[in-house]
Amino acid sequence: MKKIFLLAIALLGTLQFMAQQPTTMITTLTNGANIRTEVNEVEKITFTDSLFSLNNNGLRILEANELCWPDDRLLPYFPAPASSIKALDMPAASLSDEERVMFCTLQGIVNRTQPRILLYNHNEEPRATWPTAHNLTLSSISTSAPYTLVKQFKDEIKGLVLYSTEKSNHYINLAATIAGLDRLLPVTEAIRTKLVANGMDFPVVEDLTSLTMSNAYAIYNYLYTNYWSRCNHRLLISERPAIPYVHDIGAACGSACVWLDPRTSSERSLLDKFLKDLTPGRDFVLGWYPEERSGVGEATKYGLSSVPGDFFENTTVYTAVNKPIKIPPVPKRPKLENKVYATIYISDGDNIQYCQHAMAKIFEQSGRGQMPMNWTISPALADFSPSMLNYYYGKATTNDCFVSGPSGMGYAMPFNGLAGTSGEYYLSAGAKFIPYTQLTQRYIEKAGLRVITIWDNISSAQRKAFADNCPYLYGLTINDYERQTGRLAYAVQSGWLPIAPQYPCYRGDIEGITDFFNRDIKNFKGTGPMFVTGQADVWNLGPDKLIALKSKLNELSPNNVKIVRADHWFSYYNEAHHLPFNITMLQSMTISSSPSKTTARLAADGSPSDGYIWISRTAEGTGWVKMDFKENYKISRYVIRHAEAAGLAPQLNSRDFTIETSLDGETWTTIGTHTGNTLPVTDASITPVEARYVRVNVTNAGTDGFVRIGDIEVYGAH
Amino acid sequence: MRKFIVLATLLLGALSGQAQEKVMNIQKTDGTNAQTRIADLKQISFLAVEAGEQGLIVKTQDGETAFVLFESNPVVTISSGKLIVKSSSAETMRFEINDIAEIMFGNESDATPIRESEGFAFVMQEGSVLIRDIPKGVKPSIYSIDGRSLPTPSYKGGELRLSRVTLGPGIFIVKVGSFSTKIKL
Repeated sequence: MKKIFLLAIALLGTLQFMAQQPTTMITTLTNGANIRTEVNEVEKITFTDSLFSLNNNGLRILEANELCWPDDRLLPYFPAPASSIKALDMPAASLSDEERVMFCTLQGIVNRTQPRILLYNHNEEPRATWPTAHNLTLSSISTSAPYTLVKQFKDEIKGLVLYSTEKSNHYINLAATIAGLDRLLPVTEAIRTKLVANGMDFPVVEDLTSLTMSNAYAIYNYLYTNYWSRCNHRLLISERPAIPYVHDIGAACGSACVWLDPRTSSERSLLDKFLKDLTPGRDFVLGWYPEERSGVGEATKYGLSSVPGDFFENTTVYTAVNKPIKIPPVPKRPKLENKVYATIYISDGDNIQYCQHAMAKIFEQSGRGQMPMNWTISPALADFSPSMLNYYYGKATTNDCFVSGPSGMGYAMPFNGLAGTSGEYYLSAGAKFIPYTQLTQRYIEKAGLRVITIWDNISSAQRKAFADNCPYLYGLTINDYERQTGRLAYAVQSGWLPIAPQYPCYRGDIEGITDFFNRDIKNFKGTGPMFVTGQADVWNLGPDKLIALKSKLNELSPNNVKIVRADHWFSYYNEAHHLPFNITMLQSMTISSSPSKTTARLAADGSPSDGYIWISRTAEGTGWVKMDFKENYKISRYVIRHAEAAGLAPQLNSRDFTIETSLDGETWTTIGTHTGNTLPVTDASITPVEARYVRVNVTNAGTDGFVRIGDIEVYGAH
Repeated sequence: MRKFIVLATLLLGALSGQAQEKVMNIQKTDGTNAQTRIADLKQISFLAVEAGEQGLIVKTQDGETAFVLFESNPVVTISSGKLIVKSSSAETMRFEINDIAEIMFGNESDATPIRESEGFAFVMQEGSVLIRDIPKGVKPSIYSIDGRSLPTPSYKGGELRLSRVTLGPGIFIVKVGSFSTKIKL
């Protein structure tokens, strides 16, 4: 989300903040999405005729390059799903891998016009979980006649790409790529025979069976030479051939689908040719790689993140359900004591297929909710499936805190995986890491994730890039998984961003975590707070087992260990180290307001989302919220999220408002005057001022006259 | 009922095939182009702070122009082949989309028809612009998009051709007398 760009003018001892942004054009789509464009970036708007095909129901058939794909979106906007969606259980239909690739490709081609096909593939979570969470109405295709699904949409298919896996199975990816571009189905001769047997004698538009290439390099080089110029240069699919999951989104968008191993120099140099055409800070790789570090690292070299998701299914359906994300409120925390503060992270949430499948089961385990736990989750879900985030957020207890998996918006590998972990940092120069952190800021804010768990250590330039570009963060965690030679050092970047080492990292046993924590706890004297943090390997240590940590740690130092959420942990950490922290998170603070439709506490509950916002009772255009922090703090920053941050219309953002502070609640000093705001978030750093009270006074609301405050954060220190 | 089904089938038969649809193209100064299907467009509105004299300019194919200040909160919608501009300061304006040459943003003075102005003519061609009938004593000025003054290529007979060959590819501001416009080469 765009931050307000402020110009501070010293004026009679106070600061005046004037919005300095150009006029913004808001293009509102029928699906409710708002696309912002600065008018001074527009040369002109014209209208042209577009020739297109209609299906049998009179619906315009969209081509891969006709989707609306704004620069600030990972994925294009899809039309809303049909009122009834055809659903096929592929394992139950006993389809081969090649057939599943064909059905996934059909799904992508059909769904880009309007989502009408859903494919069950994985069957790990209860089958109704995600269709129900997305409010979809399904109509099942008989598993004994799966090809009737093709028949129902045959008028949207132009023909076939015929391939054979005899020389190499990489032809599957080549055929799937071509199929998406030209509305074709990728088929082997055996599948073609089945289509014919089911009354569908499609013409063969591309015949790859006569090609003689027999290895990955040659086949993907052929793809690069002949088709890459027609593919989108925004989303590269890296998928093992015959893994039929993300082919739907690949086909829908016209993405190239490759499976190149960077450990082989020829394949690496070819992969680099694809990657260098993508734009850091906007584009990404979806899927997985033949090997983790070399694959993720190679994309990182180009400033690109990788969204692990080679088993993520039905993207073209779930992304189309364009619901606002309901970020849960953050519980208030008790005051800092001389105790041991422990926090524990649950691994693997960077992987969207884990979020879709395994996490859905693990989240139901018995221990969840009984002890604070930090669930890593992917910010990319804000585009892939907002309803999936809402599903977990809706089920969460106040003991469930959500944080970003590595390394922010997608997985990035700071180390050169090919040179070994002691080697260079790929992005130490920072140039390509900056757009990555800017992208990360947008998506952690969209998804409401205040902590990022970085895999490995990061360089000083990378730390600075996070501090400069991710003001939404409360903290970062790092680790030294490969070497495990000892704990990395705690650090504070740019005077506000705490960086904490996870020690242990990725442990799969309670005893191991207890043992690591005890290396510190055994030295606890009670003369000051102590901080420990670690990560559990979710595959071996889910909430049902992790809950035992509570008693284990208590045994180490009875009544002295507090297990807390990660956002609380970083808040305590900063307070203990006299660093600024969000003092609206304090349990002791009280809040009052002018007459309102909603309660005053919603103005600073940690959630800017619709349903959790403060709204004035009348439409007179004015309203105020006052906070009493019960003791004095040095206030150095405030953040106000307006209506647009809640997913409402930009026109409803508060225009004019002041921020005032007081030591006694009687005499007020204006520390910021904002006029002409149009942006969703106001984020202002100021020369620290001592205060116990802070008041936000809106004098000119959005266009309908109701004052809306999504959320207020006030940063102070002792 | 049976009759209805037959009719519906005929109708669907007519529907399947090729058809035409309007697409809105937002051409940006960096040379990129963002397309939005009219069918997907609900409205266009503007968030303006002290926009001054800036506003929305609609230019039609026959050289007519209409100007609406951003301050009057214009809202643009499209319905039944018409572009409708509603604002707080003027009566609702309606244009046939087929009649619209382009929509621009700028001051009211920018609302001059693009092809004919002050006795001279701009002829827009692929990759070049020909300025004809330049009045004697008037020297066209050329600026880069960031405002730097560029040398004006030599011209004679009141005709100046600006092309990618003479200026290179990019977006330029051309000023002839009191008239100025942006061109893309």
